[in-house]
Amino acid sequence: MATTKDTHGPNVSAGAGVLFGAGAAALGVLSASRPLVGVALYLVAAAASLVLWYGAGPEPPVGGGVAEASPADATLGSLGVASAVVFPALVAADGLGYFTWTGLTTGIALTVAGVYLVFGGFSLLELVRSRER
Amino acid sequence: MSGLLDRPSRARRLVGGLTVLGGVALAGFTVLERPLVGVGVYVATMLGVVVVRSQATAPMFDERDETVSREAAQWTLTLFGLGSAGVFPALTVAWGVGLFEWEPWSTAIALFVAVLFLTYGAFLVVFNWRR
Repeated sequence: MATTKDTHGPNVSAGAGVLFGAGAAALGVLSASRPLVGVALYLVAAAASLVLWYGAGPEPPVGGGVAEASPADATLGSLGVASAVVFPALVAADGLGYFTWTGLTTGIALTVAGVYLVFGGFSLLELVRSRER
Repeated sequence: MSGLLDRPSRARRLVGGLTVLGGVALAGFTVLERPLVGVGVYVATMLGVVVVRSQATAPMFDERDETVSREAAQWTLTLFGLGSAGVFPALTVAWGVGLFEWEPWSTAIALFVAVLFLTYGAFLVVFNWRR
């Protein structure tokens, strides 16, 4: 998660993630009542986050030996920021009665949780290994 | 406050702990059917993270943390990729011979994994392009 900052700066990656997350939240909340509006909002937000990410471009690495971000890191980083927006929004909408968890959304939520549990496990493992070196 | 956060390792642990606590509270209170409590705890922990990060005197994450995160991300996607390459064709075969029915939740997992690897593919293309 940390390395996405190296290529884009924290504002760009956070902004792109928040935009994408807001679009996905709109899709989730509106999927039952106004599916077309939800899909439209999602597409607009996803496109905007892509434009922001692609348009901003990476900051040139400072000096030598700076750890470069990897595609895998960027994937989990942007997905993490998006999830950090989507799931609280869905839970809040659930609490306010605008959204009900279905098999589909629960499956997605559990898969996301699984991905970050695995990521957390590997992070701890790598942390221990890097200390031993 | 500042005494607690002078050491980056302590601040790092605090940030990690708050993030995990927020996520667990969000999921836990949703399962317990108290979603607004969950969101409240989550927002509080995220504010805590922002406060800790703004108070920290030294850079919180160094190059070693970035290497750790990079390796862990690679392993995670490798594991999910290998798992998916085994599980989803097997499920599709089982579905074809009538041993398995796609439910909304299993469809959701399949779709999510597809989105995950589409995102990864897009980042691979962008990173290669920029090199």
